[in-house]
Amino acid sequence: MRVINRPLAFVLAAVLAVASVILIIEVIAFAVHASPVLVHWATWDSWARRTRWDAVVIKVWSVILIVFGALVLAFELKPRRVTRLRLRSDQDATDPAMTRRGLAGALRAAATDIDGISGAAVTVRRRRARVAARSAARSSAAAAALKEPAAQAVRRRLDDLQMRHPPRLKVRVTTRSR
Amino acid sequence: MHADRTNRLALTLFGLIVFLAGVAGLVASVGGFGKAFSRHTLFANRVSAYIAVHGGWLWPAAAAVCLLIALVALRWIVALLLSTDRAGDITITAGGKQGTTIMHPAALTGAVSREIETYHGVQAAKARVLGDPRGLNLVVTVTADQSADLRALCDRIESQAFSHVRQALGKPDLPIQLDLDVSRHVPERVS
Repeated sequence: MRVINRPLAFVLAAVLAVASVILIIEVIAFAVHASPVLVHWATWDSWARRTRWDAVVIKVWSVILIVFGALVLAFELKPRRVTRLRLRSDQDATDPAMTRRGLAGALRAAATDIDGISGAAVTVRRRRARVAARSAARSSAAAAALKEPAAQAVRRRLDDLQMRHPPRLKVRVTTRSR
Repeated sequence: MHADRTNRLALTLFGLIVFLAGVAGLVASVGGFGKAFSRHTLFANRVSAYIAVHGGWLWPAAAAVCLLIALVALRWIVALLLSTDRAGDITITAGGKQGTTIMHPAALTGAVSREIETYHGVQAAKARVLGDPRGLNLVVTVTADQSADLRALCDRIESQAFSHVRQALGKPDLPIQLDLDVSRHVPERVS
């Protein structure tokens, strides 16, 4: 769930409720010849009767609506960032998973367990995981020599987890910056 | 009602309506519906003419629809402010004439968390019971040490802690979600 959706939904629900109540009040007021009560709709009515579709104000408002609507749509339809990557289980009623951060931590630990690796930055997404390990040595030859053991350790850690859909793994070892 | 899906659906629908209204307005404005139409005033069209002629019943009907919309919106606001997906007290029926037991969810979550926290490699565990009495769902989050054998830990939690929970509730098919996290605390390395 996106946390921002709740306040947005609250604003939308409140606007709908208030607008509906205003319209009901105005309809009743019009029926008893007491309108307008809350909104001077007669002014809007006369404005709409003299404004043409090709007016600049219509174009401007149309663009504003398009941009606003597109932003809301993009925000709502954008695929949610994966937060858990499922593990295999023998029991149908159990749904075990690694959290994305947890998997990143596990892969980082596997990489930094290798002698000569001083640290690692891990990025986990739905279908791929990238491990950028830093070698303690400054020579690129030493870093290249560490690539295979680091990749094997990380691969082994990933395989041990028995994930349902393991992400593709990409491991690189960089030299320590001076 | 837990309103998250409703929120997303309603906001998507709202975004679509606003977007389409903007597109329709721009198309009408630049002459997409005909140059003659773009030179008309906003209310010089069939729909406005129909509303003007049938306003006697149309506006009261619109008010009735708005009453429904206002009620739904208020219901939505109540759900947003008050809803929770946490389960209430759990009723355990042993069957026969043995009566029933009422269990507070905190008793269950406390027991399962404490059991898991005794396992090797576990730093912390917390649990929550979601759903209603007909469809309970246990969600357990476990933070493990970086050095822990995560697969073995997962299997142990499934075969021991979760079995105990299902046995205690008398629900062998109780859905349980396990989220395994790894501690960010880096253990000291001996060189």
